[in-house]
Amino acid sequence: MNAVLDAWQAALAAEHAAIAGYDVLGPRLADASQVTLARDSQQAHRELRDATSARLIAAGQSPVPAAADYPLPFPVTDPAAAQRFAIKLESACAAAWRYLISVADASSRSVRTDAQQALTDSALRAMRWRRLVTPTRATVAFPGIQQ
Amino acid sequence: MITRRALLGTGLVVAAGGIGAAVAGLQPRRRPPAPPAAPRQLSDALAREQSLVANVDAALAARPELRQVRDDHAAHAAALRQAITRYPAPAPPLVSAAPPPAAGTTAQLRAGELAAARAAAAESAALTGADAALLASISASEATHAELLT
Repeated sequence: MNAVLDAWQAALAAEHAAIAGYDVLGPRLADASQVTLARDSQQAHRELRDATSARLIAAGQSPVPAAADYPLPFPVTDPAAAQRFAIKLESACAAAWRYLISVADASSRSVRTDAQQALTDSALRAMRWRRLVTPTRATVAFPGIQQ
Repeated sequence: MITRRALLGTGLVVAAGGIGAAVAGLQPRRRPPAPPAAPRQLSDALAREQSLVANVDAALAARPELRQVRDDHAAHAAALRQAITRYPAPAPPLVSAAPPPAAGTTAQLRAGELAAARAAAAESAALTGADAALLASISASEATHAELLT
């Protein structure tokens, strides 16, 4: 059960990181539709963060808090870098939720259902960003493994 | 006369464990348990992926932008084939996989992707570990295909 709780908390930590990341990349976007995509994506992560925190509390756990700082993997100084960063954030979330599915046992049905939805939602957002960066390769075969 | 097969069928061998232990030296050697077969969910998903590859292939000439979708399905099939070979016994005969609708139009392709995403999620929920994670990821990939085909 500890592996499941650890993975659940890691998924929440990834959601915190995504929320912070969109704060960084949003102002670097120029196109209005991309700004809207960033806002909608960040809001979806906020809602998932809140729902996940509530479920962890209901399970008797203390949800991990957001970190004080999130170092950037590369400079996010222009729209192209912002789009690549968004793909990275969504891929990290997808990987965290996929990992939770891999360690959850058969009795953790509702956790797994939520994780599947979160994995799919991050895969969809990553695809929307990837369409802007590499339009002919907008999808990946294995969300949660590939970026 | 009660045969050993009949005893195994009724579970009496377990119930009579104490007696069995006392006469263990007289019991014939038990066969080792059969190796686990690959879960049917994996073979069902493999059959579905092969159908999806064929459907996208049929549409590819008119819509070359579907190449990535086709490659994703081929990768899904390869990964499922590899997952099945990790089990010592083959998967049971295919009986439950529902083939996706014959695809021609974009709407039909989209419907096939949505149905495949739902089926893979259900198959993932029925399994655990690496197999569950593989099918969960395949389900998410197919959801992205469906949105791409909107």
